[in-house]
Amino acid sequence: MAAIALAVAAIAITPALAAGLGSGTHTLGANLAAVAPCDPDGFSVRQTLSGSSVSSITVSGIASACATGTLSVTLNNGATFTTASGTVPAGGGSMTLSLSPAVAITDHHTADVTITGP
Amino acid sequence: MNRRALAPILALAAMAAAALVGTAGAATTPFSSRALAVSRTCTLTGTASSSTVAVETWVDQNAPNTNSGGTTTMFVQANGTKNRRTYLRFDLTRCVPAIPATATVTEAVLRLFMNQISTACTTEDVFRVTSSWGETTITWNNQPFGTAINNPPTGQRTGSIAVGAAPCTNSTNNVYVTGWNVTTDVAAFVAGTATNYGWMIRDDNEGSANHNSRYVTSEANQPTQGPQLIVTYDP
Repeated sequence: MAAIALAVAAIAITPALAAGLGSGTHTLGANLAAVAPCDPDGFSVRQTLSGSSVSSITVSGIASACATGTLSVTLNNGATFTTASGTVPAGGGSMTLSLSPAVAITDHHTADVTITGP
Repeated sequence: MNRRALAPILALAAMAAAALVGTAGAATTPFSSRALAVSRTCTLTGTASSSTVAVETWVDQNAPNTNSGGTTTMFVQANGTKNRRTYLRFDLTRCVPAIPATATVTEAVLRLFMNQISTACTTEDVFRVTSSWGETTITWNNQPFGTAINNPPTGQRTGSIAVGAAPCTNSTNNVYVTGWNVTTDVAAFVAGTATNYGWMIRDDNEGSANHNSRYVTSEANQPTQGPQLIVTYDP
């Protein structure tokens, strides 16, 4: 019976960890300290086109609390998966990251933006 | 089951529990002093006539029974009794990954590529459509908002932009306009509190002197000029 109880406990821990690390909550530190996001109200994301592809991404509305953090952008159209990153300047504001290779415009594509730190 | 038979299971379970606890500690430590901000943006683009991501058309008061669902451009026009409106709708279920119903939509912008600009600055309003319409059947006479001009009233608009010759905000031809902010509408679509019948765009002052903007449709088969809906959300 002890084995069964331990196994159940182990299974129960797994989703708890996943939930604690989920980005949707904007907190990290599973089971320890929850940390507030540096920019809780999100960003504006715009793409610059070059030919028939997205060649760069501009992220604006970055809160000053994110300064010196690392901004990462991943653009995915289902066929091409391009990542770029840079350091958020003092004061936040906006950043433009070039994408190489550029990502072709399709009927849908997804840009994931994360800022970690400072 | 006797104690001897339980022993291997007990050992395995203990190892699994130990491993999981170890993972928790390892995962927590590097991030415990960091702040994280995350957002995801889904961009839907009407890239081709065959695409079902975006459907769009326009209706013409001067040709009230004509459907224009197959045209490569569409219009927003104020001009006496020759007003024109654009209708369009995006299939939000085409976002990959799917936008969760619990997501917080932080921004949604509707963008059109303008290839004929009004000679005078004018305001163009976007309204959420509240009943169904078909790209290949809609006309001025059967459109969801009816045939009365300036209906629905400006106060019911979701957003607006200024378009036309300088110093208007959108004064450059052959580019995407800055776009209409439709965040509240998309948030309602995602949450399931409103049905997605898309939007109608009309001049803020229908019946006035000629203001005429022309925009590119999916039927133009121009991937970099197709109608776009850009949805940014917290996943």
